[in-house]
Amino acid sequence: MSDDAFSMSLRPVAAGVVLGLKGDVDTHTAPGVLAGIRGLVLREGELLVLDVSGMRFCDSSGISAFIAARNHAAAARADVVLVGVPRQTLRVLGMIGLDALFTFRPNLDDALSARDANSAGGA
Amino acid sequence: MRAAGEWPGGGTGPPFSALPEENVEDLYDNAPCGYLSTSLDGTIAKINATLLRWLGYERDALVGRRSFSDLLTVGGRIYYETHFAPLLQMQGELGGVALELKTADGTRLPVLLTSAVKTGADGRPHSIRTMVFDAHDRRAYEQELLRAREEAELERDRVQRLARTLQQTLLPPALPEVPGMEVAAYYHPASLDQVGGDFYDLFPLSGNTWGFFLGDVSGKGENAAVVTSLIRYTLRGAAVYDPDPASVLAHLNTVLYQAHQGEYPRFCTVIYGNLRLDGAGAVMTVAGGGHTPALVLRADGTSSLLHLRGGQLVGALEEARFVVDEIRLEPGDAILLYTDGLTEARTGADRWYSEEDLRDDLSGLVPATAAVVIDAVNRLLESLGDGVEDDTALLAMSVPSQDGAGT
Amino acid sequence: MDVIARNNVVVTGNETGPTVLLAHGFGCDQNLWRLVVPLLAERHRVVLFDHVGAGRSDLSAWTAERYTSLEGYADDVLRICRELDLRDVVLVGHSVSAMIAVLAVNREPQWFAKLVLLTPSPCYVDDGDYRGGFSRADIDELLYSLESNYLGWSAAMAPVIMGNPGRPELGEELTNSFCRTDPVIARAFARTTFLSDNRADLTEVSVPTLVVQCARDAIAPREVGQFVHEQVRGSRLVTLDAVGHCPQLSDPGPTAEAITAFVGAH
Repeated sequence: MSDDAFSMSLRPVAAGVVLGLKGDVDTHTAPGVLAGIRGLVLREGELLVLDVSGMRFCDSSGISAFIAARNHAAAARADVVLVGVPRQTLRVLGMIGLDALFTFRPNLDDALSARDANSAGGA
Repeated sequence: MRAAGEWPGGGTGPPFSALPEENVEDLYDNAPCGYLSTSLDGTIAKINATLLRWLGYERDALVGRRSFSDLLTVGGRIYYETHFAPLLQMQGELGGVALELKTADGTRLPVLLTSAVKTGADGRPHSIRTMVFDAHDRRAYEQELLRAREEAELERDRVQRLARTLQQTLLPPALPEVPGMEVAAYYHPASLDQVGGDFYDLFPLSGNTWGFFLGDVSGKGENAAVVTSLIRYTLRGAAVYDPDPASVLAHLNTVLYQAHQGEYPRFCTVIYGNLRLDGAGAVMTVAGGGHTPALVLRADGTSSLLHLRGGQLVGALEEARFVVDEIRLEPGDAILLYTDGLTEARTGADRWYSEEDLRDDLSGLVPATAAVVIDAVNRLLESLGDGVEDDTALLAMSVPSQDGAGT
Repeated sequence: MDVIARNNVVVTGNETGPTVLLAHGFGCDQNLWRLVVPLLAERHRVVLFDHVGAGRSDLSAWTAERYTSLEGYADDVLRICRELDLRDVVLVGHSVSAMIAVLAVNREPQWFAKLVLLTPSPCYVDDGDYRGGFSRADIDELLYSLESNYLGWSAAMAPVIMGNPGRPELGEELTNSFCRTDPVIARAFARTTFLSDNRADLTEVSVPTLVVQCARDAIAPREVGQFVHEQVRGSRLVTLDAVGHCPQLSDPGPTAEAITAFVGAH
């Protein structure tokens, strides 16, 4: 069952918030992800990290979740970083012309330290 | 009836010996189930009064005269000989078999049978003992189940028909004739009971110009069908208003983005193009909205992908970017638009059929007329079989070779 | 998929002896031969298999297109011969497999030395002067019997068979045999079996043939055995003093003797 394979976690960090998605992000699980994203309170300049390194499967409803995250963050003038995006999903994002909308990082440490470096440089 | 609490075990009841007289002979004859003993060849040797009463026969009419299978319906007899008898012979006993017995007045008595082979002192089988239970209730219940299953099957057929009909309304009933071109399309549904989200169309604009599009809506089912319908009519309306391909997609983007603000986002990938007949060939202006690249097949058998990199999917972003390119088809050339049901077909545990695979598999196709291309892709889809998990729409257009080959 | 695994082909017996290929009929699987195999094994190489859809065959190989005609089953028999490179096969077909055997022998006679038809019937339904013994309505009744038993069997039957304390060795294989008979397949096989008409194929048989029938058989009555004997040119007819449709179970000794004698005859 896809529901068994799926889990979502939320963790506040100094830079903002990390939303972790594990398992299958598909028609059954995506509505929950969307609701989760819309419920996030983001402040200007904060970071929304979508950690999908544990994601096993992602169909077009998973892509909608990425877009919703991006639109939700943009409305709050926050930034979005995608962490651990599988190759097949990267290929799809490139195909639909959305790769330029997101920042990609291989892992969570990279995402957060790059941010610290940026903040430090900007301060 | 005795009141509860008087039974043995409660401590206050009478001992068994005080129960009303119970002899074995009477228990056999008047048990609440039928008893039947037959010789190995099936001849009835002994039968109790209960079963005789159920069947409406006198004892003498059956014992020594009739065989057990004479009591079965003809269909039941075949079943008995091909299933029941072999199993009983092999394993010595068998239970829970549902059959119908014929009573003396011709009515049917649904029963459950349990049989055991009785062996003699020498260890060799010498007779078969059978217990017969009245199964009217169970049979009625089974018939309910069978009827419910038939209804469910009918219902499923109805849903599939409905889905098919709805699907057809989302696609053009037949492609129009385009003078000087060959066109062909195909829709391969991945599921019979769900409406897919793929769409295509080809329609006249003005003079010698035609509009065409092919795309894929995110999601499936009735919500996708609603969006598909909206897309199709928006694209045709937008093309009449301003036929520039990038403008057509921008128009669609605005409509979709506004229609689904705040709800579950709905978007599509699409290729929209205009086709203009030009001399012996045709010129196409094509705008890409995040869709898989079209495949161009040349008269000499070479094939290439028409990448429209950077074009974004439609309906997801307030301002989306679309990439436009122009391509010329000469006699013998063809172009194929397709959805990713094909190129996301699984070819292995972690391998998918890619656009490049498609390009390579279709190179060398000469003459590549629209019909030949669709036919070749259909064979591909067949070979991918269960790997094709999503719907696939195909639209092919070709310019006939001038020597007439391939027409 | 290779045919050996697909049809659960089992080879046993005397490697140097003549090859006897045993084809089971409608209802069970190769277990039906269990009592004659030891009797044949000493002098013959014995090849057993399950039809696709029965016993331990690969159920996923079953398709309605292929297996709603006996030709599909006959094709499988030929594939087994090709795959094992069998020569001078004595093909023994029981019940519906007798007609499957006739079709296989007629199509590619080169593999076969002799043919044994055990309780055969080329046509179960009465037709004009021909008496097969059954009407269309009877066959519908059989399909109904199948339906009502599968409803109960999947759950109720298996424990009864498995809990067979006297003869535990029988438990597993019989359970498998029944649990793995998919109702859809059984229904289709029943239709194919009982609604086929292969009377015209009998006259085409070109290898020496033995017809074995039982004295009292509700499925294939003696007139039908006689009919088969008359239609297959030069065939021999043996009538066993047996009751029922499965003499290989009820009378394994005489059945094996009839086969052995025919294999050795010139």
